[in-house]
Amino acid sequence: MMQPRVLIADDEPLLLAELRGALASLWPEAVLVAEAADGFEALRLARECEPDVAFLDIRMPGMNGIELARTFGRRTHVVFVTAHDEHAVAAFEEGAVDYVLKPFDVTRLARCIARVRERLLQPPPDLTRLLAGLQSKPATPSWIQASVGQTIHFIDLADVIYFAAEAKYTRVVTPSLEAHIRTPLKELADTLDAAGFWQVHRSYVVAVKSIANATRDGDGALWLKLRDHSARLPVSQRFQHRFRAA
Amino acid sequence: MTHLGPAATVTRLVWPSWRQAMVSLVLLVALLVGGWWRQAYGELALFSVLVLTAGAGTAGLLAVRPLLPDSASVGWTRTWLALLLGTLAGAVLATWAYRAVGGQGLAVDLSLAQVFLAALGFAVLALAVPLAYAQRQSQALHLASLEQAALSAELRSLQAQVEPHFLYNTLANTRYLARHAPDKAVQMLDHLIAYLHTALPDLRAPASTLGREFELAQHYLALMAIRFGDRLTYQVDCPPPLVQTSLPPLMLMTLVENAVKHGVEPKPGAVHVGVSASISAQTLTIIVSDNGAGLQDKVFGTGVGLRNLRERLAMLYGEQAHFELRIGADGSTESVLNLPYAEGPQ
Repeated sequence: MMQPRVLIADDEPLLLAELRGALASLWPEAVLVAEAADGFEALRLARECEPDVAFLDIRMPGMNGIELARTFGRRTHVVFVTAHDEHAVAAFEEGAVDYVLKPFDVTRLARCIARVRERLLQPPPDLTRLLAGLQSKPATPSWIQASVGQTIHFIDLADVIYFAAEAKYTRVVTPSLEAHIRTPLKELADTLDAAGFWQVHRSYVVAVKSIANATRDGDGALWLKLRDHSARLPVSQRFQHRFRAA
Repeated sequence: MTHLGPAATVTRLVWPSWRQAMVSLVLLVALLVGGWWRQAYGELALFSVLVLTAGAGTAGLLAVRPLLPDSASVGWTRTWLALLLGTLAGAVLATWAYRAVGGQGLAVDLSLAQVFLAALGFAVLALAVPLAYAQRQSQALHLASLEQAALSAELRSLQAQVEPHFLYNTLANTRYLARHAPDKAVQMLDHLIAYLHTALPDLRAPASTLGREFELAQHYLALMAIRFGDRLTYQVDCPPPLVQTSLPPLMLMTLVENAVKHGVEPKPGAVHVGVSASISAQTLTIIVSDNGAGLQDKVFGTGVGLRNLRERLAMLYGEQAHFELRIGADGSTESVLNLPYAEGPQ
Protein backbone atom coordinates (compact mmCIF):
# COMPACT_ATOMS: atom_id res chain seq x y z
CA MET A 1 0.00 0.00 0.00
CA MET A 2 1.85 3.08 -1.21
CA GLN A 3 -0.31 5.95 -0.10
CA PRO A 4 -2.25 5.19 3.06
CA ARG A 5 -5.31 7.35 3.65
CA VAL A 6 -5.47 8.92 7.10
CA LEU A 7 -8.26 10.48 9.19
CA ILE A 8 -7.52 12.55 12.27
CA ALA A 9 -10.02 13.67 14.91
CA ASP A 10 -9.60 15.96 17.92
CA ASP A 11 -11.92 18.61 19.34
CA GLU A 12 -9.05 20.96 20.13
CA PRO A 13 -8.02 22.79 16.93
CA LEU A 14 -4.41 23.40 17.98
CA LEU A 15 -3.87 19.76 18.83
CA LEU A 16 -5.39 18.78 15.51
CA ALA A 17 -2.95 21.15 13.81
CA GLU A 18 -0.05 19.72 15.76
CA LEU A 19 -0.95 16.17 14.79
CA ARG A 20 -1.37 17.21 11.17
CA GLY A 21 2.10 18.80 11.19
CA ALA A 22 3.75 15.85 12.92
CA LEU A 23 2.21 13.33 10.51
CA ALA A 24 3.30 15.42 7.52
CA SER A 25 6.92 15.35 8.63
CA LEU A 26 7.10 11.81 10.06
CA TRP A 27 4.97 10.05 7.47
CA PRO A 28 5.20 12.04 4.23
CA GLU A 29 3.69 9.35 1.99
CA ALA A 30 0.44 9.29 3.99
CA VAL A 31 -2.48 11.26 2.59
CA LEU A 32 -4.61 13.18 5.05
CA VAL A 33 -8.13 12.61 3.71
CA ALA A 34 -10.21 13.94 6.60
CA GLU A 35 -10.04 16.07 9.74
CA ALA A 36 -12.84 16.07 12.29
CA ALA A 37 -13.50 18.30 15.31
CA ASP A 38 -16.05 16.03 16.99
CA GLY A 39 -17.23 12.45 17.09
CA PHE A 40 -20.21 12.83 14.77
CA GLU A 41 -18.17 14.61 12.14
CA ALA A 42 -15.52 11.91 12.37
CA LEU A 43 -18.17 9.21 11.91
CA ARG A 44 -19.58 10.90 8.81
CA LEU A 45 -16.14 11.53 7.29
CA ALA A 46 -14.96 8.00 8.01
CA ARG A 47 -17.98 6.57 6.16
CA GLU A 48 -17.36 8.93 3.28
CA CYS A 49 -13.60 8.54 2.94
CA GLU A 50 -13.00 4.99 4.19
CA PRO A 51 -9.54 5.79 5.67
CA ASP A 52 -6.91 3.11 6.22
CA VAL A 53 -5.76 4.64 9.48
CA ALA A 54 -7.56 6.86 12.01
CA PHE A 55 -5.89 8.84 14.80
CA LEU A 56 -8.67 9.46 17.32
CA ASP A 57 -8.86 11.60 20.41
CA ILE A 58 -10.79 9.70 23.09
CA ARG A 59 -12.73 12.51 24.75
CA MET A 60 -14.69 14.26 22.03
CA PRO A 61 -18.09 15.93 21.85
CA GLY A 62 -20.94 13.94 20.37
CA MET A 63 -19.31 10.54 20.23
CA ASN A 64 -16.13 9.51 21.96
CA GLY A 65 -13.14 7.90 20.27
CA ILE A 66 -13.88 4.43 21.62
CA GLU A 67 -17.49 4.43 20.43
CA LEU A 68 -16.25 5.70 17.10
CA ALA A 69 -13.61 2.98 16.74
CA ARG A 70 -16.34 0.37 17.26
CA THR A 71 -18.13 1.53 14.15
CA PHE A 72 -15.01 0.96 12.05
CA GLY A 73 -15.15 -2.81 12.16
CA ARG A 74 -12.27 -4.37 10.22
CA ARG A 75 -11.82 -1.57 7.76
CA THR A 76 -9.60 0.99 9.52
CA HIS A 77 -6.55 0.74 11.78
CA VAL A 78 -7.01 2.84 14.90
CA VAL A 79 -4.48 4.79 16.95
CA PHE A 80 -5.84 6.54 20.03
CA VAL A 81 -4.40 9.91 20.91
CA THR A 82 -5.21 10.71 24.49
CA ALA A 83 -4.07 13.05 27.22
CA HIS A 84 -4.67 10.75 30.11
CA ASP A 85 -6.79 7.69 30.37
CA GLU A 86 -5.39 5.06 32.63
CA HIS A 87 -7.83 2.26 31.66
CA ALA A 88 -7.25 2.82 28.02
CA VAL A 89 -3.51 2.90 28.37
CA ALA A 90 -3.50 -0.32 30.37
CA ALA A 91 -5.56 -2.09 27.72
CA PHE A 92 -3.52 -0.78 24.81
CA GLU A 93 -0.41 -2.23 26.40
CA GLU A 94 -1.87 -5.54 25.25
CA GLY A 95 -0.75 -4.47 21.81
CA ALA A 96 -3.95 -4.83 19.83
CA VAL A 97 -4.31 -1.12 19.14
CA ASP A 98 -1.71 1.55 19.43
CA TYR A 99 -1.96 4.75 21.39
CA VAL A 100 -0.06 8.00 21.75
CA LEU A 101 -0.14 10.16 24.85
CA LYS A 102 -0.58 13.91 24.58
CA PRO A 103 1.47 16.03 24.60
CA PHE A 104 3.12 13.49 22.33
CA ASP A 105 6.73 12.67 22.16
CA VAL A 106 8.01 12.74 18.56
CA THR A 107 10.04 9.53 18.85
CA ARG A 108 7.03 7.77 20.38
CA LEU A 109 4.84 8.95 17.51
CA ALA A 110 7.47 7.84 14.97
CA ARG A 111 7.57 4.38 16.53
CA CYS A 112 3.80 4.23 16.45
CA ILE A 113 3.77 5.16 12.76
CA ALA A 114 6.37 2.49 12.00
CA ARG A 115 4.17 -0.10 13.70
CA VAL A 116 1.09 1.07 11.84
CA ARG A 117 2.94 0.86 8.51
CA GLU A 118 3.84 -2.74 9.22
CA ARG A 119 0.29 -3.55 10.13
CA LEU A 120 -1.13 -1.90 7.05
CA LEU A 121 -0.04 -5.00 5.14
CA GLN A 122 -2.66 -6.98 7.06
CA PRO A 123 -6.31 -6.21 7.63
CA PRO A 124 -7.01 -4.40 10.92
CA PRO A 125 -7.75 -6.62 13.91
CA ASP A 126 -11.31 -6.81 15.14
CA LEU A 127 -11.34 -4.44 18.07
CA THR A 128 -14.85 -5.09 19.25
CA ARG A 129 -13.90 -7.24 22.19
CA LEU A 130 -11.01 -5.11 23.32
CA LEU A 131 -13.07 -1.96 23.02
CA ALA A 132 -15.93 -3.47 24.96
CA GLY A 133 -13.45 -3.95 27.82
CA LEU A 134 -12.27 -0.37 27.46
CA GLN A 135 -15.67 1.19 27.81
CA SER A 136 -15.28 1.80 31.49
CA LYS A 137 -18.03 0.56 33.76
CA PRO A 138 -20.43 3.29 34.78
CA ALA A 139 -19.35 4.63 38.15
CA THR A 140 -21.69 4.45 41.12
CA PRO A 141 -24.10 7.36 40.78
CA SER A 142 -24.04 10.04 43.45
CA TRP A 143 -27.06 12.14 42.50
CA ILE A 144 -30.27 11.94 40.56
CA GLN A 145 -32.20 14.39 38.48
CA ALA A 146 -35.90 14.54 39.33
CA SER A 147 -38.70 17.04 38.87
CA VAL A 148 -41.09 18.73 41.24
CA GLY A 149 -43.74 20.35 39.07
CA GLN A 150 -41.81 22.27 36.41
CA THR A 151 -38.55 22.51 38.35
CA ILE A 152 -35.75 20.02 37.98
CA HIS A 153 -33.99 19.15 41.22
CA PHE A 154 -30.63 17.58 41.66
CA ILE A 155 -30.98 15.26 44.58
CA ASP A 156 -28.01 13.78 46.35
CA LEU A 157 -28.57 10.02 46.52
CA ALA A 158 -27.35 10.17 50.11
CA ASP A 159 -30.50 12.20 50.93
CA VAL A 160 -32.95 9.76 49.38
CA ILE A 161 -34.95 7.60 51.81
CA TYR A 162 -36.85 5.50 49.29
CA PHE A 163 -38.14 5.22 45.72
CA ALA A 164 -41.72 4.22 45.02
CA ALA A 165 -43.12 2.98 41.71
CA GLU A 166 -46.08 4.96 40.41
CA ALA A 167 -47.51 4.02 37.01
CA LYS A 168 -45.02 5.37 34.48
CA TYR A 169 -43.13 7.40 37.06
CA THR A 170 -40.92 6.80 40.02
CA ARG A 171 -41.45 8.90 43.14
CA VAL A 172 -38.29 9.94 45.01
CA VAL A 173 -38.69 10.63 48.72
CA THR A 174 -36.20 12.59 50.84
CA PRO A 175 -36.71 14.09 54.31
CA SER A 176 -37.51 17.46 52.75
CA LEU A 177 -39.17 16.78 49.40
CA GLU A 178 -40.87 14.39 47.03
CA ALA A 179 -39.99 14.47 43.35
CA HIS A 180 -40.66 12.40 40.26
CA ILE A 181 -38.47 10.68 37.69
CA ARG A 182 -39.89 9.73 34.32
CA THR A 183 -38.23 6.33 34.40
CA PRO A 184 -39.95 3.23 35.77
CA LEU A 185 -38.53 1.90 39.01
CA LYS A 186 -37.54 -1.46 37.54
CA GLU A 187 -35.10 0.26 35.17
CA LEU A 188 -33.43 2.02 38.07
CA ALA A 189 -33.23 -0.90 40.48
CA ASP A 190 -29.94 -2.39 39.28
CA THR A 191 -28.08 0.91 39.40
CA LEU A 192 -29.54 1.70 42.81
CA ASP A 193 -28.51 -1.69 44.11
CA ALA A 194 -24.89 -0.65 43.67
CA ALA A 195 -25.53 2.62 45.48
CA GLY A 196 -26.68 1.25 48.83
CA PHE A 197 -30.37 0.67 48.07
CA TRP A 198 -32.42 -2.50 48.49
CA GLN A 199 -35.47 -3.50 46.61
CA VAL A 200 -37.93 -4.67 49.25
CA HIS A 201 -41.10 -4.83 47.17
CA ARG A 202 -42.15 -4.61 43.53
CA SER A 203 -42.97 -0.95 44.19
CA TYR A 204 -40.31 0.07 46.72
CA VAL A 205 -36.55 0.48 46.74
CA VAL A 206 -35.26 1.76 50.05
CA ALA A 207 -31.93 3.21 51.25
CA VAL A 208 -30.39 0.58 53.52
CA LYS A 209 -29.15 3.26 55.90
CA SER A 210 -32.70 4.61 56.32
CA ILE A 211 -34.16 1.35 57.58
CA ALA A 212 -34.83 1.68 61.31
CA ASN A 213 -36.31 -1.79 61.85
CA ALA A 214 -38.43 -4.54 60.35
CA THR A 215 -41.40 -5.92 62.25
CA ARG A 216 -43.97 -8.60 61.58
CA ASP A 217 -47.63 -7.73 62.10
CA GLY A 218 -50.34 -10.08 63.32
CA ASP A 219 -50.89 -11.51 59.83
CA GLY A 220 -47.20 -12.33 59.43
CA ALA A 221 -46.53 -9.53 56.91
CA LEU A 222 -43.17 -7.80 57.26
CA TRP A 223 -43.06 -3.98 57.51
CA LEU A 224 -40.16 -1.55 57.54
CA LYS A 225 -39.99 1.45 59.81
CA LEU A 226 -37.79 4.23 58.47
CA ARG A 227 -35.53 6.83 59.98
CA ASP A 228 -36.46 10.46 59.25
CA HIS A 229 -39.76 9.48 57.65
CA SER A 230 -43.13 8.33 58.91
CA ALA A 231 -43.96 5.98 56.02
CA ARG A 232 -44.09 2.23 56.67
CA LEU A 233 -43.09 0.12 53.70
CA PRO A 234 -44.17 -3.46 53.08
CA VAL A 235 -41.55 -6.13 52.37
CA SER A 236 -42.82 -8.68 49.89
CA GLN A 237 -42.19 -12.41 50.28
CA ARG A 238 -39.54 -12.38 47.58
CA PHE A 239 -37.30 -9.98 49.47
CA GLN A 240 -37.85 -11.11 53.03
CA HIS A 241 -34.66 -13.18 53.06
CA ARG A 242 -32.78 -9.92 53.50
CA PHE A 243 -34.33 -9.43 56.91
CA ARG A 244 -33.81 -12.87 58.42
CA ALA A 245 -32.08 -12.51 61.75
CA ALA A 246 -28.50 -13.66 61.52
CA MET B 1 -7.34 24.55 73.21
CA THR B 2 -6.25 21.02 72.63
CA HIS B 3 -8.31 18.28 74.23
CA LEU B 4 -7.40 17.20 77.76
CA GLY B 5 -5.88 13.78 78.19
CA PRO B 6 -6.00 11.97 81.56
CA ALA B 7 -2.81 13.68 82.74
CA ALA B 8 -4.20 17.19 82.31
CA THR B 9 -7.56 16.07 83.68
CA VAL B 10 -5.98 14.70 86.86
CA THR B 11 -4.02 17.90 87.35
CA ARG B 12 -7.13 20.00 86.88
CA LEU B 13 -9.19 17.78 89.15
CA VAL B 14 -6.96 17.29 92.21
CA TRP B 15 -4.26 19.96 92.09
CA PRO B 16 -5.79 22.94 93.88
CA SER B 17 -4.92 26.56 93.36
CA TRP B 18 -3.46 28.39 96.42
CA ARG B 19 -6.77 29.98 97.11
CA GLN B 20 -8.68 26.70 97.00
CA ALA B 21 -6.05 25.07 99.23
CA MET B 22 -6.28 27.89 101.82
CA VAL B 23 -10.08 27.90 101.88
CA SER B 24 -10.19 24.11 102.26
CA LEU B 25 -7.63 24.19 105.04
CA VAL B 26 -9.50 26.91 106.95
CA LEU B 27 -12.80 24.99 106.60
CA LEU B 28 -11.18 21.76 107.71
CA VAL B 29 -9.62 23.37 110.79
CA ALA B 30 -12.93 25.12 111.62
CA LEU B 31 -14.80 21.82 111.40
CA LEU B 32 -12.25 20.04 113.59
CA VAL B 33 -12.22 22.80 116.20
CA GLY B 34 -16.03 23.05 116.13
CA GLY B 35 -16.43 19.29 116.51
CA TRP B 36 -13.92 19.20 119.35
CA TRP B 37 -15.63 22.06 121.13
CA ARG B 38 -19.10 20.46 120.84
CA GLN B 39 -17.45 17.22 121.99
CA ALA B 40 -18.94 15.41 118.96
CA TYR B 41 -15.98 13.04 118.92
CA GLY B 42 -17.82 10.22 117.18
CA GLU B 43 -18.90 12.40 114.24
CA LEU B 44 -15.42 13.89 114.12
CA ALA B 45 -13.84 10.43 113.87
CA LEU B 46 -16.25 9.45 111.09
CA PHE B 47 -15.53 12.69 109.27
CA SER B 48 -11.82 12.01 109.51
CA VAL B 49 -12.37 8.58 107.97
CA LEU B 50 -14.08 10.19 104.96
CA VAL B 51 -11.39 12.83 104.53
CA LEU B 52 -8.63 10.27 104.90
CA THR B 53 -10.17 8.00 102.26
CA ALA B 54 -10.69 10.81 99.76
CA GLY B 55 -7.19 12.04 100.56
CA ALA B 56 -5.73 8.61 99.84
CA GLY B 57 -7.64 8.46 96.52
CA THR B 58 -6.24 11.87 95.65
CA ALA B 59 -2.76 10.71 96.58
CA GLY B 60 -3.23 7.73 94.25
CA LEU B 61 -4.11 10.08 91.39
CA LEU B 62 -1.16 12.33 92.13
CA ALA B 63 1.13 9.33 92.28
CA VAL B 64 0.08 8.10 88.86
CA ARG B 65 0.19 11.57 87.32
CA PRO B 66 3.93 11.46 86.41
CA LEU B 67 3.39 8.09 84.71
CA LEU B 68 0.86 9.53 82.23
CA PRO B 69 1.92 10.86 78.86
CA ASP B 70 1.45 14.59 78.72
CA SER B 71 -0.69 15.26 75.71
CA ALA B 72 -2.12 11.96 74.53
CA SER B 73 -5.57 10.71 75.42
CA VAL B 74 -4.31 7.31 76.55
CA GLY B 75 -3.86 6.24 80.17
CA TRP B 76 -7.42 6.35 81.45
CA THR B 77 -7.20 2.75 82.70
CA ARG B 78 -4.07 3.53 84.72
CA THR B 79 -5.75 6.60 86.16
CA TRP B 80 -8.80 4.67 87.30
CA LEU B 81 -6.66 1.88 88.72
CA ALA B 82 -4.63 4.40 90.75
CA LEU B 83 -7.80 6.01 92.09
CA LEU B 84 -9.26 2.61 93.00
CA LEU B 85 -6.11 1.42 94.78
CA GLY B 86 -5.61 4.73 96.62
CA THR B 87 -9.23 4.84 97.74
CA LEU B 88 -9.34 1.20 98.84
CA ALA B 89 -6.10 1.52 100.77
CA GLY B 90 -7.33 4.76 102.35
CA ALA B 91 -10.69 3.24 103.30
CA VAL B 92 -9.11 0.12 104.84
CA LEU B 93 -6.59 2.17 106.73
CA ALA B 94 -9.13 4.71 107.94
CA THR B 95 -11.59 2.01 109.01
CA TRP B 96 -8.82 0.25 110.94
CA ALA B 97 -7.91 3.52 112.67
CA TYR B 98 -11.61 4.14 113.40
CA ARG B 99 -11.82 0.75 115.10
CA ALA B 100 -8.82 1.68 117.19
CA VAL B 101 -10.36 4.94 118.44
CA GLY B 102 -13.80 3.29 118.62
CA GLY B 103 -12.38 1.03 121.31
CA GLN B 104 -12.04 4.16 123.45
CA GLY B 105 -15.72 5.00 123.16
CA LEU B 106 -15.27 7.68 120.52
CA ALA B 107 -17.65 6.12 118.02
CA VAL B 108 -21.13 6.75 116.60
CA ASP B 109 -23.53 3.88 116.34
CA LEU B 110 -22.27 2.35 113.09
CA SER B 111 -20.79 -1.03 112.27
CA LEU B 112 -17.30 -1.11 110.79
CA ALA B 113 -18.73 -2.33 107.47
CA GLN B 114 -21.00 0.72 107.38
CA VAL B 115 -18.06 3.01 108.08
CA PHE B 116 -16.04 1.33 105.33
CA LEU B 117 -18.89 1.68 102.83
CA ALA B 118 -19.51 5.29 103.80
CA ALA B 119 -15.82 6.03 103.22
CA LEU B 120 -15.94 4.40 99.80
CA GLY B 121 -19.22 6.15 98.91
CA PHE B 122 -17.79 9.51 99.82
CA ALA B 123 -14.71 8.89 97.66
CA VAL B 124 -16.92 7.91 94.72
CA LEU B 125 -18.91 11.13 95.04
CA ALA B 126 -15.90 13.36 95.60
CA LEU B 127 -13.49 11.87 93.07
CA ALA B 128 -14.90 9.15 90.83
CA VAL B 129 -17.95 11.09 89.61
CA PRO B 130 -15.96 14.22 88.65
CA LEU B 131 -13.28 12.06 87.02
CA ALA B 132 -15.87 10.13 84.99
CA TYR B 133 -17.46 13.39 83.92
CA ALA B 134 -14.09 14.85 82.91
CA GLN B 135 -13.26 11.69 80.99
CA ARG B 136 -16.47 11.88 79.01
CA GLN B 137 -15.88 15.52 78.22
CA SER B 138 -12.31 14.88 77.23
CA GLN B 139 -13.29 12.07 74.91
CA ALA B 140 -16.01 14.16 73.31
CA LEU B 141 -13.48 16.91 72.72
CA HIS B 142 -11.03 14.42 71.33
CA LEU B 143 -13.69 13.19 68.90
CA ALA B 144 -14.54 16.73 67.88
CA SER B 145 -10.90 17.50 67.18
CA LEU B 146 -10.66 14.34 65.06
CA GLU B 147 -13.72 15.42 63.10
CA GLN B 148 -12.21 18.81 62.55
CA ALA B 149 -9.02 17.22 61.28
CA ALA B 150 -11.03 15.07 58.88
CA LEU B 151 -12.88 18.11 57.59
CA SER B 152 -9.77 20.11 56.97
CA ALA B 153 -8.22 17.12 55.23
CA GLU B 154 -11.24 16.95 52.99
CA LEU B 155 -10.92 20.63 52.27
CA ARG B 156 -7.29 20.18 51.33
CA SER B 157 -8.15 17.37 48.94
CA LEU B 158 -10.88 19.56 47.49
CA GLN B 159 -8.38 22.28 46.87
CA ALA B 160 -5.77 20.20 45.15
CA GLN B 161 -7.55 18.52 42.29
CA VAL B 162 -5.98 19.31 38.99
CA GLU B 163 -7.18 16.77 36.51
CA PRO B 164 -4.27 15.20 34.65
CA HIS B 165 -6.37 15.19 31.50
CA PHE B 166 -6.79 18.96 31.75
CA LEU B 167 -3.14 19.57 32.51
CA TYR B 168 -1.70 17.44 29.70
CA ASN B 169 -4.10 18.78 27.09
CA THR B 170 -3.32 22.33 28.13
CA LEU B 171 0.41 21.68 27.98
CA ALA B 172 0.04 20.08 24.54
CA ASN B 173 -1.70 23.24 23.33
CA THR B 174 0.95 25.44 24.90
CA ARG B 175 3.73 23.51 23.20
CA TYR B 176 2.08 23.92 19.82
CA LEU B 177 1.68 27.65 20.41
CA ALA B 178 5.27 27.99 21.61
CA ARG B 179 6.35 26.80 18.18
CA HIS B 180 3.85 28.64 16.04
CA ALA B 181 2.65 31.67 18.01
CA PRO B 182 5.00 32.35 20.93
CA ASP B 183 3.07 35.42 22.13
CA LYS B 184 -0.09 33.37 22.50
CA ALA B 185 1.87 30.66 24.23
CA VAL B 186 2.98 33.16 26.87
CA GLN B 187 -0.62 34.31 27.32
CA MET B 188 -1.73 30.74 27.74
CA LEU B 189 0.99 30.03 30.29
CA ASP B 190 -0.09 33.11 32.26
CA HIS B 191 -3.65 31.80 32.40
CA LEU B 192 -2.39 28.36 33.38
CA ILE B 193 -0.23 29.76 36.18
CA ALA B 194 -3.17 31.76 37.53
CA TYR B 195 -5.35 28.67 37.37
CA LEU B 196 -2.78 26.55 39.19
CA HIS B 197 -2.70 29.18 41.93
CA THR B 198 -6.37 28.46 42.56
CA ALA B 199 -6.01 24.73 42.38
CA LEU B 200 -3.15 24.81 44.88
CA PRO B 201 -4.24 27.76 46.99
CA ASP B 202 -2.80 29.14 50.17
CA LEU B 203 -4.52 27.27 52.96
CA ARG B 204 -3.66 29.97 55.47
CA ALA B 205 -6.09 32.23 53.65
CA PRO B 206 -9.34 30.25 53.54
CA ALA B 207 -11.39 33.26 52.43
CA SER B 208 -11.19 34.80 48.99
CA THR B 209 -13.11 37.64 47.38
CA LEU B 210 -15.68 37.69 44.65
CA GLY B 211 -13.31 39.80 42.56
CA ARG B 212 -10.49 37.31 42.86
CA GLU B 213 -12.66 34.26 42.21
CA PHE B 214 -14.17 35.89 39.12
CA GLU B 215 -10.71 36.74 37.88
CA LEU B 216 -9.67 33.14 38.28
CA ALA B 217 -12.79 31.92 36.48
CA GLN B 218 -11.84 34.32 33.71
CA HIS B 219 -8.34 32.82 33.48
CA TYR B 220 -9.73 29.32 33.32
CA LEU B 221 -12.25 30.20 30.62
CA ALA B 222 -9.63 32.11 28.63
CA LEU B 223 -7.47 29.01 28.70
CA MET B 224 -10.32 26.78 27.60
CA ALA B 225 -11.23 29.24 24.85
CA ILE B 226 -7.72 28.93 23.44
CA ARG B 227 -8.03 25.14 23.60
CA PHE B 228 -11.48 24.86 22.07
CA GLY B 229 -10.99 27.68 19.58
CA ASP B 230 -13.96 29.60 18.20
CA ARG B 231 -16.55 27.24 19.54
CA LEU B 232 -16.25 28.47 23.14
CA THR B 233 -17.25 32.04 24.02
CA TYR B 234 -17.67 33.36 27.53
CA GLN B 235 -18.59 36.38 29.58
CA VAL B 236 -17.53 36.94 33.19
CA ASP B 237 -19.14 39.94 34.92
CA CYS B 238 -18.32 40.90 38.47
CA PRO B 239 -20.32 44.01 39.45
CA PRO B 240 -17.71 46.55 40.70
CA PRO B 241 -19.40 47.11 44.11
CA LEU B 242 -19.09 43.39 44.84
CA VAL B 243 -15.40 43.01 44.09
CA GLN B 244 -14.42 43.04 47.77
CA THR B 245 -17.22 40.74 48.93
CA SER B 246 -15.76 37.70 50.60
CA LEU B 247 -16.33 34.29 49.07
CA PRO B 248 -14.91 30.87 50.00
CA PRO B 249 -12.25 29.83 47.50
CA LEU B 250 -12.91 27.43 44.63
CA MET B 251 -16.70 27.29 44.88
CA LEU B 252 -17.13 29.35 41.74
CA MET B 253 -14.35 27.36 40.07
CA THR B 254 -16.23 24.10 40.72
CA LEU B 255 -19.29 25.50 38.97
CA VAL B 256 -17.34 26.86 36.01
CA GLU B 257 -15.40 23.62 35.58
CA ASN B 258 -18.67 21.71 35.68
CA ALA B 259 -20.15 23.95 32.99
CA VAL B 260 -17.15 23.25 30.77
CA LYS B 261 -17.03 19.54 31.50
CA HIS B 262 -20.74 18.76 31.23
CA GLY B 263 -21.90 21.62 29.01
CA VAL B 264 -19.09 22.48 26.60
CA GLU B 265 -17.02 19.32 26.22
CA PRO B 266 -19.83 16.92 25.24
CA LYS B 267 -21.57 19.25 22.79
CA PRO B 268 -20.35 19.68 19.22
CA GLY B 269 -20.46 23.26 17.97
CA ALA B 270 -20.56 26.69 19.57
CA VAL B 271 -21.22 27.04 23.30
CA HIS B 272 -21.42 30.14 25.48
CA VAL B 273 -20.62 30.22 29.21
CA GLY B 274 -21.73 33.16 31.38
CA VAL B 275 -20.73 33.98 34.97
CA SER B 276 -22.58 36.71 36.87
CA ALA B 277 -23.37 37.88 40.39
CA SER B 278 -26.09 40.00 41.98
CA ILE B 279 -27.44 41.06 45.36
CA SER B 280 -31.00 41.09 46.51
CA ALA B 281 -32.47 41.07 50.00
CA GLN B 282 -29.29 40.14 51.90
CA THR B 283 -28.56 37.35 49.46
CA LEU B 284 -25.61 37.11 47.12
CA THR B 285 -26.56 35.14 44.02
CA ILE B 286 -23.93 33.76 41.68
CA ILE B 287 -25.05 32.19 38.41
CA VAL B 288 -22.98 30.14 36.00
CA SER B 289 -24.89 29.37 32.83
CA ASP B 290 -24.10 27.49 29.65
CA ASN B 291 -26.08 26.63 26.54
CA GLY B 292 -24.18 23.39 25.99
CA ALA B 293 -25.15 19.74 26.26
CA GLY B 294 -27.78 20.48 28.92
CA LEU B 295 -29.27 18.24 31.53
CA GLN B 296 -30.71 15.83 28.96
CA ASP B 297 -32.87 12.95 30.02
CA LYS B 298 -30.39 11.14 32.13
CA VAL B 299 -31.49 10.23 35.61
CA PHE B 300 -28.18 9.52 37.35
CA GLY B 301 -25.05 11.59 37.76
CA THR B 302 -21.72 10.60 39.25
CA GLY B 303 -19.98 13.91 39.92
CA VAL B 304 -18.66 14.40 43.41
CA GLY B 305 -17.96 18.10 42.77
CA LEU B 306 -21.50 19.20 43.55
CA ARG B 307 -21.75 16.97 46.61
CA ASN B 308 -18.51 18.44 47.95
CA LEU B 309 -19.83 21.91 47.23
CA ARG B 310 -23.04 21.23 49.14
CA GLU B 311 -21.09 19.83 52.09
CA ARG B 312 -18.84 22.86 52.20
CA LEU B 313 -21.84 25.19 52.05
CA ALA B 314 -23.51 23.35 54.92
CA MET B 315 -20.30 23.49 56.91
CA LEU B 316 -19.75 27.20 56.37
CA TYR B 317 -23.29 28.61 56.31
CA GLY B 318 -25.64 25.94 57.63
CA GLU B 319 -29.14 26.53 56.34
CA GLN B 320 -28.38 30.04 55.12
CA ALA B 321 -26.83 29.03 51.81
CA HIS B 322 -28.11 26.86 49.05
CA PHE B 323 -27.25 25.64 45.64
CA GLU B 324 -29.35 24.44 42.75
CA LEU B 325 -29.06 23.47 39.13
CA ARG B 326 -31.94 24.51 36.95
CA ILE B 327 -32.98 25.10 33.39
CA GLY B 328 -33.02 28.81 32.62
CA ALA B 329 -35.69 30.71 30.71
CA ASP B 330 -33.73 30.40 27.45
CA GLY B 331 -33.15 26.68 27.91
CA SER B 332 -29.60 27.06 29.20
CA THR B 333 -28.28 25.14 32.18
CA GLU B 334 -27.85 27.36 35.24
CA SER B 335 -25.91 26.62 38.43
CA VAL B 336 -27.22 28.99 41.07
CA LEU B 337 -25.40 29.65 44.32
CA ASN B 338 -27.16 31.70 47.01
CA LEU B 339 -25.10 32.92 49.95
CA PRO B 340 -25.97 35.19 52.87
CA TYR B 341 -24.69 38.72 52.24
CA ALA B 342 -23.93 41.45 54.71
CA GLU B 343 -23.53 45.07 53.53
CA GLY B 344 -20.03 46.39 52.90
CA PRO B 345 -16.68 44.67 52.65
CA GLN B 346 -16.44 41.86 55.20
